Parts: sequence; C-alpha cells; structure tokens
Amino acid sequence: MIRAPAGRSPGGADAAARRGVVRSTPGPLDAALGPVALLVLWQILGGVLPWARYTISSPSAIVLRAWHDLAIYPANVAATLWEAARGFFWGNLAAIALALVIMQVRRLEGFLMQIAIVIYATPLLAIAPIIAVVLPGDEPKVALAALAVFFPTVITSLIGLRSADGASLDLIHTLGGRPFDALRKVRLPASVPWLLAGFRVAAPGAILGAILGEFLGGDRGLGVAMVNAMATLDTPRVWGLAIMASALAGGGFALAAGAARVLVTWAPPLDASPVLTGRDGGAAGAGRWALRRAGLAAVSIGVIVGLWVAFIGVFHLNPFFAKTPAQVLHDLIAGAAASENRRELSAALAMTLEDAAAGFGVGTVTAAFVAVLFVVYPRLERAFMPVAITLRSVPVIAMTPLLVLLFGRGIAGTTAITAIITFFPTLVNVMQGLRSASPQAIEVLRLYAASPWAVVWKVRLPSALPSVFAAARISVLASILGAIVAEWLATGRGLGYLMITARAQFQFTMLWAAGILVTIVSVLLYGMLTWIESPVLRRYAPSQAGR
Amino acid sequence: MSAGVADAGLILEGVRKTYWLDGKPVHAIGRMDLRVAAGAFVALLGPSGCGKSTALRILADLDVPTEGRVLVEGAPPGAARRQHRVAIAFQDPALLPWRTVYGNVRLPLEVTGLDVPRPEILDLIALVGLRGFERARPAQLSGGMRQRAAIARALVTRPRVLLLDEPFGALDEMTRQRMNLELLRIWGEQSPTTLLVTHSIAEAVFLADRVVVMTPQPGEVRAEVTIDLPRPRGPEVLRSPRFHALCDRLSELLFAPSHVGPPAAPEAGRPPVPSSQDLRPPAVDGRPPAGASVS
Repeated sequence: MIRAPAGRSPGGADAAARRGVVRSTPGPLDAALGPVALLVLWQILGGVLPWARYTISSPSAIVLRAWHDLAIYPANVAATLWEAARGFFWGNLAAIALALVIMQVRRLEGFLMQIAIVIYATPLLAIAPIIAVVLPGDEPKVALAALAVFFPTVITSLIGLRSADGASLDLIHTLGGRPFDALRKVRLPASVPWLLAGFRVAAPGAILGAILGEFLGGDRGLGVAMVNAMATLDTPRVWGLAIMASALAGGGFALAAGAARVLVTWAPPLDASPVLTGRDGGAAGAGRWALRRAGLAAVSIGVIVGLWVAFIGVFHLNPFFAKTPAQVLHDLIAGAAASENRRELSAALAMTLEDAAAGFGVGTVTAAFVAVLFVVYPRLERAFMPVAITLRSVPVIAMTPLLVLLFGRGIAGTTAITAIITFFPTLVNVMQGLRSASPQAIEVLRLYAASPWAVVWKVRLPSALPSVFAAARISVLASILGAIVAEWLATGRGLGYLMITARAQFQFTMLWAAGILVTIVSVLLYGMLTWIESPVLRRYAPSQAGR
Repeated sequence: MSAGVADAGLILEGVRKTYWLDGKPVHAIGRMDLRVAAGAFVALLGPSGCGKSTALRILADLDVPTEGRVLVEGAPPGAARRQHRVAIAFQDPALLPWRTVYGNVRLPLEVTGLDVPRPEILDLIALVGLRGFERARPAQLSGGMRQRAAIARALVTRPRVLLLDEPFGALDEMTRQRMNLELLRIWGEQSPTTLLVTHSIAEAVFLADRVVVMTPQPGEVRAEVTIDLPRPRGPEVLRSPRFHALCDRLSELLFAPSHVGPPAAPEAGRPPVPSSQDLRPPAVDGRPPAGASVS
C-alpha cells in the first residue's frame, strides 16, 4: 500500500489534477494571442514576399489603399445596402406568409416544406444568371437577397409559431376563442423571439445575396467594385471592399441581435440556426423508408418544375429569355444538337461536382481535425476560436474575388474557396458537438485515467456525429455554390462557366438547363445527406431523432 | 492520527473548498473531517448545496481541495485514480447512447486496459438484474435499468472504493426503494469502501453503517450517527421501529437551527460529532419518518 507523506495535500496529485481535470482560468492574453499573431504574420508575409503584393497584400497596404479609396465607398455601400434591405423585406414577408399558411393548412405542410427546402437548396448562383436575364435593373440583386433570406425565416417562424405554450392555446380554446384568436394572442407573440433570432441569420444573408447578384454585373455595389478591382489585380482594394462587405454582414447581424435584446425582454436570446434535423418514421420498414425517400425526391423534382413553370407564367416572361421545361427537354433529348448538349452539360456537371467535392472533403476533414485539436488543447482554442467565430460570419462566397487573387485560378484556387466555405461553419458546429458530450460520461473516463485522446475517441467524437452531419448538409450546398462562383469568376470551366458563356451567347435553353440541373443535383444531395443522417441520429443522438 | 492511514479507506482532514464567483468567495466546504474505514458504507446526508457532492468529487480527483489532506486507501486521490481503485456513479447514468449495455459496462476496461473475461462481465450484468438486456441500448431502457447499467459499469473494474453521487436521485420513490435493496445485495458481493451522497434520510439509514449529516453554506459536518441496524437488511427493516427512530433522529439533526446544536450533542469539540450513544429514543415511537426526503 502506498503511504502518502503526512501534512498538506500532496502537490503531485494537485498538479496532475489541475492538468487533467481542472481547467486553468483563461487570461485575456490568450484570446489576444491568436489575432495578434495572425496579423503580424500577415504583415510580414505581405510585406516581404515579392509576389505577395498581388495576392495576400499586407494589413498596412490595405489600410492605406482604403484611405485613398474613401470616395468610392459611400455610393457602393449605399447601393448594396439598398438592394439588401429591399430583399430582406420581401424575402421575410414571403417567408412569414408561407409559415402562416403552413400553420393554418396542416395537410399541405409536407408539400409546402418541400418547396421551402428546394428553395433553400437551390444554389443562388445557379439561378442568378436566369434572374438577371428575366428581371430588369437591379431587381435581380433584390430577388437574390430575398431568396437568401427566405428559408431561414420560414424555418424560424415555423419553430416560433409552434413554440407557443400548449396550455395557453388550450386556455384560449376553452374560453371559446377561435383559431385566429389563438394565432393573434398566443402564437404570434410566442414566435417573436424566434423570428428575431432568424433575422440574425437573414440580415447577413441579404447582404450576401445582394453581393452575389452584383457579381453578375451592374453599375454600383460592393460586388461590382470587387469584381472590377479583381480584374485590375488591385488586391488591397479587393481586400478593403471584402472587409467592408463583411462589416456590413456583421452589422446586419448585430442590428438584428440588438433588436432582439431591446424588443424581447421576456425571454433570453435564442440561438436559432436554420437547421432541419432528419425526420423519418423510425418504425417504418427499410423498404417503405426507401420508397418514401424516392417519393420525396420525385416530389422535389416536381416542385422544381412547378416553380419553374409558375415563375415564367406569373411574370409573363419574354419567351426569348424564358425557356419552359418542354423546350429544355426538347433541346436535350430530341433536338438536332441534343446529344452534344447532353455531353456538354454532363461534362460541366462532373467538373463542378469534382470541384465541390474536393473542397468539401478538405474543408470538412480539416475542420474536424482542428476542432479535435482545440478540444484537446484548450489553450489553442482560446487563442484561435474567436478568430474562427468571426470568420464564420464572413460571407465567404462574397469574398471569392479576393480568394481568386490569393489562391490562383487553378484547381488549388477552387478547392481553397470551397474548403474555406466548408471549414468555418463545420469547425464551429463540430466544436459545439464535441462539447455537447455528456460531462458525466467524460468524468467517468477521467476517473479511469483516460487520456484526452481516449476521451475524444470514445465519447466526444461519437457525440459530435450529429453535428458533423448538420454541418455537412449546410456545407455541401455551400460548396456547390462556391464551386460555381469559382468557376464563374476564375477557372473558366464547369457549370458556372457554362452558364456565363450561355448567357453571353444567348443560348438561353442551355442556361436554363444548367441552372435547373444544379438545382436538382443540390436538392438530391441535400436529401441524400438527410437520408444518411437519420440512422446516425437514431444511434448517436436518440433524443434528437424521430421527434 | 495514530489509528493508521493504511486501514482507513477514505480520509478527509481539514478539507476546505472555496470557489470564486465574480470575485466573491463561495465556501462549498467550510471545513470537513471524515474517515471511512475500509469496507464500510458511509452516507453523506444533507440538503442541496452543502458541499457533499464536492467532497465526493474531491475523493474522485475530479476536483481539488483548496486546503486540507485527502487520502484514498492511503494514497492521494490522483494516485488512487490512476491505479483504477476508484469507481463512481452519478445521478445521471451517463451511459453512451450509441453503445449497448454490454459495451457501456465494458468501457472502463477499454480505457484502463484491465482485462475482465466476457463471462464475468455477463455475470456482473446479471448481478445488477439486466440479464437479457446485454445488447439493448440505453434509449430502450427505463430510468432504473439505466442506473443498474451505470452501477455495473462502476463495479466492472472491481474497485476498492465506490463513490455514489445520488445514484437514484432521479428515480421515482418505488423504483428507488427497489434499487436500494438491489444495491445492498450487490454491495454484499464485493463490499468496496462506499461513500454515498444523498438527500434522502430513509435511503441513508437503510444503506449505510454510518450517516454523516452536513449543513450548508459553508458545508460542514454537523453530526455523525452510527446506524446499528443488523445486516443483511431486507425490506422488513423499513418497517422496524429502530429504522424510524434513526430517521427521526436524523431529521431532527438536519432541521435543527444551525447554531444551537442538538441538546444531547456536547459542544466539546469542533465539529460536534455525537456518537450513537447520544441517540435518544424518539418522542413518538413508530411514526413515519418526518420529512424522509430533504431537498
């Protein structure tokens, strides 16, 4: 038997306990270390390396350039903000209206939600050239901003409307109130905190949508200015504009968050991200389940075609620009150049998928690895997590011109863009997942003197799997979008480039075909991930599955 | 301290634990002395916030005392932990939802590298009454069954010291009674040194050899009561007058004003530790324990 020296508690055990079990208190130094180190490194690299002037630039050069550029900012910022504001308004209006309809007409819920999911999964860029062709002036930018806002708001307002307290609804019912009274007195007020939480996502989304629209061309706006500066290799100016765009997005977020704090005094701020968890009847047999999935895919394609036809019909679009499903199918199946069109389209799709997959894979794996490092080495996390959280809220796709300058126009550039798009949301999500592990289960392992890596492997990573999937569903869409933007602005290949050339050469059938194809592929990929996710959720997070 | 460090299972000497909350000290444990002989079953009884869980966590090396000496089987808690002599069960069974009952029970073995053959693990699962559920996942089990699995997991390394932090606190009263009976049966098989943290008077009396009553803010030992109920204890013990007398005595100690010690307890030393001789016959014999559960 080991005898401990008499007296005060042995220091060895104390130190070990502090190292293994108790976290030392974080100093402000740690949190400042990461950003400062990065800034210094950036300044050194940007100032010293000969080629850096046209790629990474340096913080001092960017500040100087912005000072000289002061005159170009107000008009461009105003243009982008005005587009984003209009998009924010219309997008939210449509989304809240849809959520109310879904609430009232329960029977249509599945179908209407599928429409919302299709709109969510549609790569904005895929339809941007189409919208740019059919809508006049800066309306395409407004439309894109509205589309970017639409889905998060549908989801959060639905959650909000449903969050109403059951007992309060029963009370209204017992008092003889009509469903409208329940809506007005209980459901709407209950949904306000959620709606405002949704606005925090929607406000930066509107800025992003407007900038994406501006990439297509125009007279003014941050996106237009960024593409022009990229064309003249004016890297410091691109940096300045990109930082301004991020600041606007961050400002939108802060404004929405501030509004929530001022307006909602009766509930704590909510953290709502528009993530749908996979829902499947757990009891259904495997065969029926697959059938349901196939049915859902068919419904999605039907929804896409329906929206397509409705879009053309409602706006009375000029048939020269607006091609119907029949025309597109004719050109792909029966027309004179059908086989050539098909070949061109499928080659471009393969290219785009390859670009997206490379970045998605690299981004997801790196993010998971870094997240694990952060959890095992908390010092590292304290130094760099604030940077990561800041960068997550940067609309990376809107930074594409900058990234093209940084990483070049080759496969490395495309991969870097899609990887960065994937990296930050995945990192933050996986961190949350790793932390969501039961603290008691971790203590049990620590009691048995398990190493931090064993804790990660046996408890934290499995606990984080649902978060990995939630992140993957979001970033798979983002990576397709990123691949298309990269192809469009940089590499000159794939569906992104095909759409741009088709638009320039008035091959509108091809433009529509490409846009619809990307949409269908995105919706199917999204559905596929949901499909893989539900058995994982059932096993690793039984409390979240099948609710 | 001549009684010997070696034969004492658990020792806390002059232990203090102070947290800092917004720059203000919070005394989770004001000053605590506790000795649990090897193989004994001691219950720490007190309301929420009296530091009893903190004491347990210090023994498990999940927390470090601000001051004082802690020995687990004669060794510092960290050393005992690294030698895999200690096991713990919380109120939350903390089972991994993706593992089966068998996989969960096996987890400590995977981590410690200890080797226990499969039949023994299955025997242990049978011992806690989960035979036939080896391949079930936690989500398929009731709360009581999950807690049984957590107890099996705690016992699988054949620990010398078993720390129980309100393991049945989340269960309904009837399940809890049954689990207590089961726990006594299982404990009889391995007899590890056991420290149970609870806020149920009846549970403490039924299970323990000795009940240590703690007071909150700062957490301190107010009294110790030896439970002289004969072992093995069956359900009939719950109906015995002696059981109720002990319960009454404890609730009296728990609810007495904090500065006026119980009349029979001499204020000789600090902390006042009345022994079981001080236990007077209850005023009204045979009535149900007043406030059998303190929360």
